[in-house]
Amino acid sequence: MEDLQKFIRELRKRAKREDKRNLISVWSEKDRFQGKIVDSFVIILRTKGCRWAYHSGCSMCGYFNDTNPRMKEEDLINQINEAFEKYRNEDVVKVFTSGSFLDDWEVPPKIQNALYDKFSSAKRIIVESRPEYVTMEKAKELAERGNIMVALGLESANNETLIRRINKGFKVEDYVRAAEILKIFNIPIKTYILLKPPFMSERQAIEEAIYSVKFASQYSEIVSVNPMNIQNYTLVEYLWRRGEYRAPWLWSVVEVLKRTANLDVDVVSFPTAGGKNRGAHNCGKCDERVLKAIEKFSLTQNLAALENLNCQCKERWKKIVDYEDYLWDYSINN
Amino acid sequence: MLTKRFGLAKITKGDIETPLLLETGKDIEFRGNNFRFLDYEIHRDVLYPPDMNGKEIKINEDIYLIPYINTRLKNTRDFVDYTIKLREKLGFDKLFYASGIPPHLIPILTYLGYDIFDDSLEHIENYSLVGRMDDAPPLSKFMMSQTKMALEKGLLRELVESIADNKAKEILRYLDMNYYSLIENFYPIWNPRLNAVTLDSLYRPDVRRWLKRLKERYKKPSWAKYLLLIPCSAKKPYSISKSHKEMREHIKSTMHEVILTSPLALVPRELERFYPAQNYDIPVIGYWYEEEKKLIRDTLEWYLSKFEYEDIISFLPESMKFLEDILNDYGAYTIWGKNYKELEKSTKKLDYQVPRNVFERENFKSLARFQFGCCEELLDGAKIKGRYYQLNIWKDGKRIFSYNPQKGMLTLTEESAKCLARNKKYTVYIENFYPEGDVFAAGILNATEDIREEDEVAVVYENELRGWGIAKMSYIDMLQQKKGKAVKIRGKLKTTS
Repeated sequence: MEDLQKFIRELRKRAKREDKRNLISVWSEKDRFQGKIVDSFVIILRTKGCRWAYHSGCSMCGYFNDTNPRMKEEDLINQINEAFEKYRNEDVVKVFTSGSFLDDWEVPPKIQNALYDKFSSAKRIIVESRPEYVTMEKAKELAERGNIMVALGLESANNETLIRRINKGFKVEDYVRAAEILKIFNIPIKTYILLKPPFMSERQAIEEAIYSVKFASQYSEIVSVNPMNIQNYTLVEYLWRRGEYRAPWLWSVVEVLKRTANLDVDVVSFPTAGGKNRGAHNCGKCDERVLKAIEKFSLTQNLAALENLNCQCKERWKKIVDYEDYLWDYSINN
Repeated sequence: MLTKRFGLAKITKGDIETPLLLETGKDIEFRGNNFRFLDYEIHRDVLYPPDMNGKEIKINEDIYLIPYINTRLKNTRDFVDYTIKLREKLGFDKLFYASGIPPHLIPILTYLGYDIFDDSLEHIENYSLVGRMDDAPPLSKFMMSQTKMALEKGLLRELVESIADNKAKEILRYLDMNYYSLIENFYPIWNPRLNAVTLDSLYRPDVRRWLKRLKERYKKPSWAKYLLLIPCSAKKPYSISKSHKEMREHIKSTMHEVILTSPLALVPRELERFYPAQNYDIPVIGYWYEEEKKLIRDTLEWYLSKFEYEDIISFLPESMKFLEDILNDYGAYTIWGKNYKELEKSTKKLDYQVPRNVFERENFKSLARFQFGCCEELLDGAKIKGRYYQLNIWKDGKRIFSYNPQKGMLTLTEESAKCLARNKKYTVYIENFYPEGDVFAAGILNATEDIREEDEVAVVYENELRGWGIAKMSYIDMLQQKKGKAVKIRGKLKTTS
């Protein structure tokens, strides 16, 4: 683990960050909310960044590239106002910070409240946080707002993966503790599961994602499967450049969704950089079609969307799933 | 248990017989994250790549799985260096399992010292003799059977040289250029055949050893006053070939005949049966490649500057005129082409005849020196008895050597074995026991560094000769292997009973 952290830190040193103070991004997209397809409003705040990233950070996370350690409260207020100007009363508001919205160091409580106030008309505000910032006090405040959902990035329900593949900085038990606090206050939970952390075969990745989705479904209203996308100055990018890592096949995403469709909760996936080399992809010919099917399923939860999907490359994917383990090498998966 | 080697490649018998090809799903199998390897099961840990301290995986005391072979193959030099370092770290007796390898590389990876392979990659993509090829028929089993056969017959090097793959050639050439002194230890001193099928053969460890030994050990026989440089023949040993027989009818003095050839460069007649001189073959079209020319020129120049003759005659084909300037420099009388008249005339003029007994004795002295690097003085005053295929060398009523014409080597007797032991050459030091049939590696305390598989060796306890025979492994294996036949005993002194 020490070695892993050292490696991650070294790679990050090469990143060049600029003194930007504005919003990273904001847009509108479709999402699923309480059984219906709705419009949702995505806000990505530029903050000081994730506290864990200051220590070492996760092997796949490049969000630190967009953060600014000199961020001030007034900058954050400006960003919230900037976002609100573009808000068109979407039902769902999703807030990302490249870290934890609930971390009072990263986003001062004043700012947290300012955002809740500004978007109080939304049916739901989803804020993302690492589990260590979910406390009884924090949960009590959130519960009083009534429209807040907390998104937790569990990534994997396997501690070995959290510690030795991702360097997540917390364990499954920490997630459970946070989830149980939120449950006490009836705050709904969305959980992110990472499909294909590094140092895993395609098969291992599929099996572990399925296991993790099932595990998270006990605590969540929605489980979102996030296939790996390759971000700058990360360990995963380093491996990818050397041909030792390939983002998961879209067939693997389909496989995970199919095999978790029987769960009572919504299991969705919106692959970042889908179809691209840096995101989940297939052979290039079928990517668009398969991505559409995945999106359709994610919005409707109707398995029919994933049936009768085929392409020549599916055969190669199947062989890789069945035999890559035996190679003890990840460079053949391409 | 080690039964045969050829360089780093080895044949082992016992619980697991190698080289071995494992069948995916049958011999090896994943059960979740547990990996079954025949009867062994190991847990699969997080697999880090080589540059993140990814390590070899121990399956049991004798077998190590080497992961990331395909990734490592991207950098040939690092891969070879890593493999050799790992060998030196874990031991030359261990079995290395190279998982998921491209099947057409089985010969070169065997040559590099990997013992166990599998067919898993072929379940994902197809390969041919010339590399990856869609829809090619299965290759792993075929490659493994070819590798095994070649290794058993001492022809693995020929197979390896003939694989048309750049990666395979890179590994081979990098080994030849950088690891000669290690690999030479594991090349047998005698082997049935050597086919110099490609130019890479010029760098075979057994070919280079020939040249090195010439330079380090060889001395021309004391009777050798006149040198005759002649070409090689297709048939070996040269002297039984039609061309040499015919030529020798026209040699009218006792000439020191020295054969110029490729890839051995130079073979003095009295060593013509010593491996590989008796055993090699090379494609001949009457055209010499620059590398061959250079090799022969350099060796000839070394030879002529080291050994003095009263006269030098060359009787060589026109195609070897690339030697003309050197021959002229040393004042040789040159005859180009099969001009037997000239040969007869020029040799007759010298009018030099050496008595047969002196000639034979001194030739064996030269061989003793070449084979052992010592003990040639034993032959002073010795007598050669018997016919050519059953020659014995006697002195003071004792047999000191026999001659094995098939191997072109002297075989030991009590007298000569004692001489080796005195000189601390070709000597195996055993624990306190009286060897009967074979000496096994387990009973060996030490062995001199000159011992190669098939060498004649003395077997000694402390300072006392206990026996002599044929080494069945190199000194490194004698010291590192826990099991296996190390010396096949041919003669012994005293038994316990």
